[in-house]
Amino acid sequence: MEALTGFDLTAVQAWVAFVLTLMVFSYIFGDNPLFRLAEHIFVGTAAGYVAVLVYHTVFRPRLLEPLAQDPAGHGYLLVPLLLGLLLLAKGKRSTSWMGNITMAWLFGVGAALAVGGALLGTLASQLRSSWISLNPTDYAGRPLGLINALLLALGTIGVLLYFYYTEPAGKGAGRLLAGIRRGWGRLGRWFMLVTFGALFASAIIARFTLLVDRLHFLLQTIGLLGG
Amino acid sequence: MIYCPNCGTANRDGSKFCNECGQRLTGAEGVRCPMCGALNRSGSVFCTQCGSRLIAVEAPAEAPAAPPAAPAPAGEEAVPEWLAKLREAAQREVSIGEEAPAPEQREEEAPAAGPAEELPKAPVFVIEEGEAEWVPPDWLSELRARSAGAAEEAPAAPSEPLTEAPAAPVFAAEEAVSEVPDWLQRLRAEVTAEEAPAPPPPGPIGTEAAGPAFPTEAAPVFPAGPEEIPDWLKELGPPPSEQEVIPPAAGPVPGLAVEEEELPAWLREAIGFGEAPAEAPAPAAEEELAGEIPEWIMALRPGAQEPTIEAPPEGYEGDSYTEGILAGVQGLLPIELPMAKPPAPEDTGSLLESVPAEDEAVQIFRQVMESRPPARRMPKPSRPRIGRVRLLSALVLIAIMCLPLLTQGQWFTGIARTVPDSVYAAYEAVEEELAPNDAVVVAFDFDPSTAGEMAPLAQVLTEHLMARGARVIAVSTLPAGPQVAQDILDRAAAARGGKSYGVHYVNLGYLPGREAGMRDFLLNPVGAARRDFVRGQPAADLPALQGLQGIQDLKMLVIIGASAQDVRWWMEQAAGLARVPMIAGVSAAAEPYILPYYQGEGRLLQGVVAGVLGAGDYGALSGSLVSTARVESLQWGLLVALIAMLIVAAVSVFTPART
Repeated sequence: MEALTGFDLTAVQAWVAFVLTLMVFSYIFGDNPLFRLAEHIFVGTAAGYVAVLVYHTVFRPRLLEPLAQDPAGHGYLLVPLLLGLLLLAKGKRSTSWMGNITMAWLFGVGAALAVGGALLGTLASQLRSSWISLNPTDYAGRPLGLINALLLALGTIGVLLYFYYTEPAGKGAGRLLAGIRRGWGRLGRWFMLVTFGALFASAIIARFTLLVDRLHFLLQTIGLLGG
Repeated sequence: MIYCPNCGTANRDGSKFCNECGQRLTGAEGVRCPMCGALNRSGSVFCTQCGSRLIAVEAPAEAPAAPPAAPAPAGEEAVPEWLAKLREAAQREVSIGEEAPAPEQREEEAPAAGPAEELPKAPVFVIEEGEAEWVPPDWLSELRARSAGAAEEAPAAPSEPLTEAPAAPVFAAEEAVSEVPDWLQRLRAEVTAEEAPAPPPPGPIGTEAAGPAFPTEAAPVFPAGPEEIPDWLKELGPPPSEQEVIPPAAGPVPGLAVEEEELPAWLREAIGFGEAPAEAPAPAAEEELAGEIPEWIMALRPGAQEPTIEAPPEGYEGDSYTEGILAGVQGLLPIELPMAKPPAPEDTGSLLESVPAEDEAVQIFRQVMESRPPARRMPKPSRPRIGRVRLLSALVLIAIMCLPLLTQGQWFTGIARTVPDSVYAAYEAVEEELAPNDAVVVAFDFDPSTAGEMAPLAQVLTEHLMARGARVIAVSTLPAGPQVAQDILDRAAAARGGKSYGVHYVNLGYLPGREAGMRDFLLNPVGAARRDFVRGQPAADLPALQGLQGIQDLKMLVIIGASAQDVRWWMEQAAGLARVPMIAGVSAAAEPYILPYYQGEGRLLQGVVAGVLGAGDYGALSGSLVSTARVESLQWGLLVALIAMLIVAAVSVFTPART
């Protein structure tokens, strides 16, 4: 490393990244070995990096060093260590059942945290946000707010009605209500279509942003752009 | 091969259904050839494979009673049951020759007659047409001839019962004593009194009760009881002791494997043991008998026709078979004589004849199959047109997006847009909520794969936080996130100046466990982080973390995530612990999922900054330097993409769909 200290590794890294970026861009001609090579390099380096990082940030400071320094005081760490070792038993069919203990622990804790957080953080807050006023007097001077509230109400109820599949047989008022439900359900279907389109457009924007970043990098590497 | 009994198609061994007509092959109704095992169509006379005759000239209506099968010796399980019985009969015959049992003993050994359905499947003895179906012993022929002569005087004709007798030859001597005629019982008593060996039942070899029955056409039936004795036999009257026995004209019975002294006197006289064969009846007498004796009996007369005895088969030496499944069986199996002969070629030759048109078609087919197809150059598949369109579209798009970058926004002007309310709210929250030295946790939940979009956003947010004098505490729930966070922190610190690592900002690195790790960190930041990411110092020793015991000491939580799921997890865990101000910086793809947490009465987020466009807006508000060229490049790229999609949509609408 001493010999490399004076070497400009940044330039090498930039050119390696430049070549790898072009290899990935070669996918525009279809699947090819260059793209596959770059893909494999990315996956391999990412996996190696994660393995080293997890060892240095998790295993060593959180498990090995406490056990080495004060085994009696950190005896409780043997429990997660044992649970982690049980996961290795998953590699063999005859012993995979032992790993189920750890998996049960992980899924149990994860589900409990997810349910608790979803109830308080998402469900309750979204319900409160959906409880809006449709009284025009509450939107005095804010016509867009009233339109937004109406669209929100129409869309929410329409989407719910779209997934109402059963229809009771009836006459008169029953048939009228069924017709309203079907019509409102079709409107909810269009709300969903627009929503999916918006999600797709957002994903496109995100990918275009990444393309701009790569183009900027390529132009910068070949010296067409400053700093 | 299994041949379909319905259509005759050859199917592979083990086939259950015919591959031509679907006829069930296993258990299918048909006639299985006893010689080659081929399954033939029901009612077939000859086997379609070996030509053997399948049915007798006239099959008997009832199978003769047969004794139960003797236990097969070890290792001979594959021997058919009828063959095993045949062997047993042959061995018993040998034992009879050595030690003849007494009549009583023979009666005890006589097997009980069982029902016909339980009888083993007896081989079908077939005699070809034109040959004598069954050659009775000469003594019987003479006996019948004599009875026919006596019938001229008696009113009852003996021929009718014979021709209608459907049963295979059954010898009454093997039946119960009660069914033996009286005259025969008296005869036996006389023989026993003379201590003479018990006479074996007359008949050919293998026709004992223990052996299989060989049904032949109109085989003579020896009645089992007095009531069933035909009239012509009744005409013979009682045994020689009561009636004069007419000596037979024929010689000894051919094939009768008994010694002369074993036979009773009356029987020896009847069959003419030791006497010279009598001369054949005169032609006049023969013509006279022909009108009264059935034809089949006339055909059975001595010298009428003799079966052709061919060379013994393989494995037959002397009197018995020495090898093969027939090993141990004495005597030539009469079944082989007629059935081993292949059918005459003229019998099936007509089936293989073809007309000239068929021969010509066969020749053409053969030429076509043997001739190699002419070498034809296949047209080289052209590259799909969509490939060129895709390449052209990509090049145009890249060129248009590169122009703003190359010109640094001088030639192209960015599309004007207003600052979204969510971005402005985020800016306002940082400005109003934070004071110098307040602790702010910034979650960098993105990795290098999305850093192109998220890095500018994180840059402007971090710079603004540092500008407000807040202590920035960076963490990440992604393994590759801490390094990206460190780069951004360093740039933001350099941009603001006067910020030192560990004091004004710190990177606590990777938090494992996702939701559990988030919750653990929010409850105890120092204990959960343990060490910082850059120097590895204990978190408790870092000045930036002084006084930070839990989420209650946090002034703000800034969540910068490329995935909506990561941002939602942070919000949900933090909302369940304390009411802490939160703002989110998300990618454009995650914006639709996160914005609802900002809107409404129960919102959790104070503001949302989305994508590069949001970063540009936020940088414009906070005074951070964000490359406007990138924003313009993105805007122009999106515009080109929009135009391209509209063109494609228009083309697809006006272009008829290809089938």
